[in-house]
Order: sequence, then structure tokens, then C-alpha cells
Amino acid sequence: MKPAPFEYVRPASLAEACELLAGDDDARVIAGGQTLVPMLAMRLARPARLVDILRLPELAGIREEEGAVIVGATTRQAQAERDPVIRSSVPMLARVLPWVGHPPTRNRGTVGGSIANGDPSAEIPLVAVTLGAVIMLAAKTGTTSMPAEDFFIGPMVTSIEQGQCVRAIRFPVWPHRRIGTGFFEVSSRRSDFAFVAAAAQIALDEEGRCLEIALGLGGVADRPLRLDMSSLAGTAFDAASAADAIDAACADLEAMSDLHASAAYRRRVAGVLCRRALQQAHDNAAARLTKGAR
Amino acid sequence: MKVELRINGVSRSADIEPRKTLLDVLRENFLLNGTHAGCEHGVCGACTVLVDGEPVRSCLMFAVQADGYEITTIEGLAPAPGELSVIQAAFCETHGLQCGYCTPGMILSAHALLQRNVTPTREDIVEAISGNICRCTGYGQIVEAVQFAADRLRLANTPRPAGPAGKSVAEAK
Amino acid sequence: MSADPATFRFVSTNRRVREDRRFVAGRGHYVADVALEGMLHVAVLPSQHPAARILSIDASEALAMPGVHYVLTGEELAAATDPLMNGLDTPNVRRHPLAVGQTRYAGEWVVAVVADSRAQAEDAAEKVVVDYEPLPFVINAEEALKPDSPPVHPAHGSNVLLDRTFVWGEVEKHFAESPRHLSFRVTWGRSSTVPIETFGVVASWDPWRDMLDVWASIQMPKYPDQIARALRIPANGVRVHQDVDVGGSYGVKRGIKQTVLVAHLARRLGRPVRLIEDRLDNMGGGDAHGPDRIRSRLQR
Repeated sequence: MKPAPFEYVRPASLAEACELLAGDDDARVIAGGQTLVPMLAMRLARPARLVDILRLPELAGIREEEGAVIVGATTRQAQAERDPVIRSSVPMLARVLPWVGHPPTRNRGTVGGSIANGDPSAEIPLVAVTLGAVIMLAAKTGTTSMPAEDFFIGPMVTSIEQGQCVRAIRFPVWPHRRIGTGFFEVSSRRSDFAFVAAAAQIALDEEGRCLEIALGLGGVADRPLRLDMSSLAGTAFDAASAADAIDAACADLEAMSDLHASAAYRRRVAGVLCRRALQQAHDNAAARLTKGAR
Repeated sequence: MKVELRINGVSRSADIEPRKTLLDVLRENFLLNGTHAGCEHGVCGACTVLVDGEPVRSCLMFAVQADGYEITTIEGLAPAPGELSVIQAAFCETHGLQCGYCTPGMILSAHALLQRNVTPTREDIVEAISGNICRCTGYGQIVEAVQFAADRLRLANTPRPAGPAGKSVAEAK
Repeated sequence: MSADPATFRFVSTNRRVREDRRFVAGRGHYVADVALEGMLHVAVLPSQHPAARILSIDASEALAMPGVHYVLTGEELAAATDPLMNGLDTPNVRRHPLAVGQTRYAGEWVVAVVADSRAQAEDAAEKVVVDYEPLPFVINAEEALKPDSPPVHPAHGSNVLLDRTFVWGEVEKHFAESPRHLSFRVTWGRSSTVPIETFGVVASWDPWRDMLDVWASIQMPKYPDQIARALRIPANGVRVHQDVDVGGSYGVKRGIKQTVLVAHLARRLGRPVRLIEDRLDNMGGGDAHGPDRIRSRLQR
């Protein structure tokens, strides 16, 4: 399975890259290549030109800002997995990364690449939507930002336009002291695409009431979804109320049906995984007082 | 396009189409046949090489992207001609292979694990080789090989009583 | 076992497998490692239809592509070689490495393109234009048994290739005597052992010795015999190099059609020819292990 021929160019700067992308409809970005190269090998994608952005300095690095962590698009998934800033400030991403592909694909695959691919069952887009991250896009005209939930619009379809590439992802950092995360996924094998995935993050006050709750569902609808858990804010967490809130949020859930799982299965499992993820997040947050450092 | 790559510590160059993968360049241009093609779309791991010490699927990298890294293939693992590294010898000891086709990739993944963690748990080992498929062995003896190699690496610099001459490490314990 | 283990040289001794040393060093010798001077590469073009008549094949654009040496059709191959052995008394079921006149399954190889590299052969294969007339098809074994189902091999007259009953013991008597009866129905689909190494073959024809040299990922009996038969050469005109390591087979690698294809091309073009199945070739049109099977009415 050899790709169709293409030209390869490695621009030295982001500006040059955007110029190349804007000027050529048939040009595609390549970074880690873990998703693109199989498509090229099977000739499902046939760009005339590949623009390699993997080594662009403007897209690299992880930095902290007030209330956020900015992850450069070309940050390799393995890098993010080991990064202490992500571990402490974006714990949901740290929890989820070992589930993304395999160790060798995480060594080349990038955080931005997963975002740009927009697979409805992918873990990194799920985290972005669940936490309300912002996708920063670079173009010839400058950098624009878009909330993650607006960025993913369908299966493998994002709002990215010709001439744009993902520059960075801005993950919000919760200021609270007692934060816990939970994540559950069902798939054929651990590294496979999730049939259903649920990710949760909870912050508790000193009395154990929920200060903030985030819950997201992947693999079920045609893009990752954030579920509305606002009814639980300010309350003491209990499984029954959580289950009610989840049922309400999932009431009109549109689930995909494919050769892996039926829509009915996805809807049923979604409810179960949401409850488990929320419980796990709560328990992890609660443990933060008694145990101290995580 | 001309590329200059560092393979097993040696600079090698080739003039190739951009679409030629690192896998194909290693095999066809540099005659390093130890890296194998199993699926050409990144799922089986037979093509695994180390890029700056980390396992990577060489079928998912174009050679034109591979400059500026230290690339290690299975041929680069042996300490000297005719000798085997600790991990290679361990695979022989436990017979962690049958047809040998997945073996170079498997060994490199295991090698990378042991470079950073010489006390891996069974879970660590299973995770490290999770990107390498084996159709022959059922993986049991592969995991044993990595455990065996880990034990030997851990003990490598510790003083041990001299064992009776002629016994294998296992027999001497 | 009462024998004293110390008396055995091999049984129950701690011995190592000889081949392991070269495999852990990456020094195996698999078919894809075989590189001969002037070797050409094959890519195959499969049909996407479950059943279709082949109306025409236009290879003109493919032949003009860089590096392309030849485009082989089933018609030419069937004229130059004998059909593959069926192992059944079915003289009107004629099978060849490439489809002749009609294709009988989605994935069946229709055309083989020969070029200087596999990539160029694939580029050219895309440019071969095959005009198909889709035919009625049947993909269920029980449906195929019905008299009105589409015939897969019309010249054979029906879809039944072999109808035999194997009887051991007094079956009806034991059924009648059993206190309990159990019946169930099991179906299982077509399967393959999916070795990590697909099938591959390199063939080279020596016209001065009338000798076909073959390197292949093969470990099956009756391999050179079938090649010789198809190519209409004496059995001792096929020399299979047994020093080729096989990357797993577990019974699936028959390799006859691939080898006959490549051998014909080597003989025709006067150069060594190589076909290494990629995973799509292998799973779409390569050797499979088990067909669809239906079992019913087992009784204890």
C-alpha cells in the first residue's frame, strides 16, 4: 500500500506554512502522521502536497497562563502524558492520554493532530469539549480562537478552513483545591476507538459540596458532547441525584449506530459510564482532603 | 529529494520520492532487512524502530521526515558482531518468538522500556508491547523474556557469588 | 514416565531453538528480503463486484505510466497456463490466478501490473479501466444450494461442488436409542489465520536450463508440483528455495495462484518478478483459511 505521489515541503515558520496552505487547495498539513499516513497508504487521501509543521517552533511547547494551560499543537501525545504541568493543572487530559492509541503512536502523534482529525470517539477532543477548551487556529491573516464545542461539527468534520491549521489548545485550569477526575471507555481493545467514553471532573468545597462539575461523552453522537450537570452545582454529591441529572442530560441523546455497536447499546452504556466517571471523579476529589497531595 | 539520516550511529543518505516511507528506505536503500512490513498502515508494529530512543512505527513516517533523529533498528542493538544484547539473549532463553517476524519490533519496544524502567511490572511490560502484534506465541514467553532481561539488567552491576562454571544464569540461582 | 531424564540428549533438556539467534538479530531471510538483479514488482487490481462479467480491459493509460513494463489479463494467463488444481472431480470449474471472463467475488484479482517498483505498479493499476457488467450473485451457502440461485460457475451446472455423506457407526440406531436429543445450528464466517507476514513470492526463469527458481513464504506440501502443472513444465523444472523463512502461516499460505501468476510473468518478461501481498491484497483476494460453514443437528 504505497501512497500516491506528493510533494513535500517543510516551511521554516508558521507564517510560511499558512501562506503555503492558503495558496493551495490540494495541500495538507502533516505533523505526527499517525492518522494521515494510513489514509495516504490506502489512497483514501491524495493531497498533491504535504506541508510539514511538526518542527515549527510556534506550534511547540506547553505553557501556563492565568487560569489556563496552552498546549502547542505539535506537542506529542507522549510528551503531554509525561508533562508535570498537565498532570497538575489539566488532570483530565493526563488521565485520558494513556488510552489514546498505543505507546508508539503517542510517540509521534500530536495533541493538535487528534483535535484536527475530529474523530467522534477520540479521547483528546472529548477532554477539550468537556473542559470547555478553546482551539486556537493559525492562518495567514492571524490567529483566531473557537470554543471546542463549536470546533467539532460532525464525524471527522471540524470548522477548520483551507489555509488554517491548529496552533494550540487552551485548556482551562480550575482554581479549586479539591479536584478529581474520572474516565471510562468501552472498546474492543484498550487502544481501539471507543464505542462509548465518558470523562468527568469535579471540584468539591471543604464540606464536600460540588463547586464545579464537567461531564462529557464521546463515541456516542457524531462529535463529543458536554452534558449539562449544572443542577448538581452547590449540592452534596449523591449517586441518585447524579443519575437523575445524567438521565435528563442524555434524554435526547442522538447515538450513532455502526458495525461495532447499535445506537441502543451506546445510549445504555453512555448512562452507565457517565455515572461511573462522575463517581470516580467525586471519589478522587474527596480523597484530596484526607490524603493530601494526589 | 535527498535525505540524510542517522541510522545506528552512522550517517546514511538517499535520494528518494517524498512518499517513500522510512520503512521502505531502511529496507531497500540501506539493505537493513531486520525491520519488517506487516500491514503498512500502522497497526501491527512489525516495522517498529527507535527514533531518539522511542518506539515509532516506521511505516507511518516518511523518510523525508526522518532527518535529525537518532534512528535505531534491530541491527543496531547487538553489542558486537555475533553477540547479542541482554534483551536479545533473553528472547532466545525464553523462546519468546517462533517465526521471528514480529520479533525485531517487539525487541525494540522492550529495549526502550528497559532503558527507562529496569523494574517493570507485568502491566508495564504488557503496555510497552501493546503496539506489537504477535500471531505465533500468545505473548506469554515474550513477557517472560522482558522480565528475564529486566532481572539480568538489574543484577548486572551487583556483586554476586561466583557460580559453578558452565551453568546458565537460571540454573545458578 | 519412569525413564531417567539424565539419559536423554534432547527430551526434557534446557535447549535453545537454533533459529532464534538470527531472528532476534533481525537476520531472518524472508521473501521480501530477496532482491535479485533486474527484479520487477507486481501490483494486482481486484474487482469490487460480487459477480460481474468482464466486458473489456483497457490498459493503454497504465502502460504509458513511468516504470511500467507489462499489464497481464486473465485471458492471456489462462491461455498460457493450466487451471489451478481443485482437488475435486470438477473439470468444468476452471480457476486461474486472474479472473477470466467473469469475476466471482469482490476482491478477486483481475489484472496484474508489472513495474520497476511496487509504488509505480500501484499508480498504474489505478489507471487500468475495466468495464464490468454486474451479475446476480449469491453469498450465502444455503441460498446457493437452491436450484434457482445464481450459478457461480455456470459451466459446472450447479453450485454444488461436492456432495458426500460420511457415516461412522450406526447413526440412526443411536439417535433412536438416546434418551435426550439436542439440536443446534452454528454458522461461522470465512476466516484466515492472518500471519503478520503476508504471502509473497519471487520467481525467476532460466531459459537456458528451463528452470524456474522460486523464493516464497511457503511451508505447504505439493507446492512445486502444482506450479509445474499450471506452467506445463516438468516437476523437476521448479526449484523452490527452502532457505526462505516464513513469517507465520498456520496453514493459510497456499500461494499457488500467486506463484503461478508471478512465474508466468517471469517467463514472459525474462526477468525476476516479485509479488508481496499488501494487507489489502491479502485480506481481499489472498488465501483464506476457512470458508463459511454451517453445522447443525449435533446430538448427545
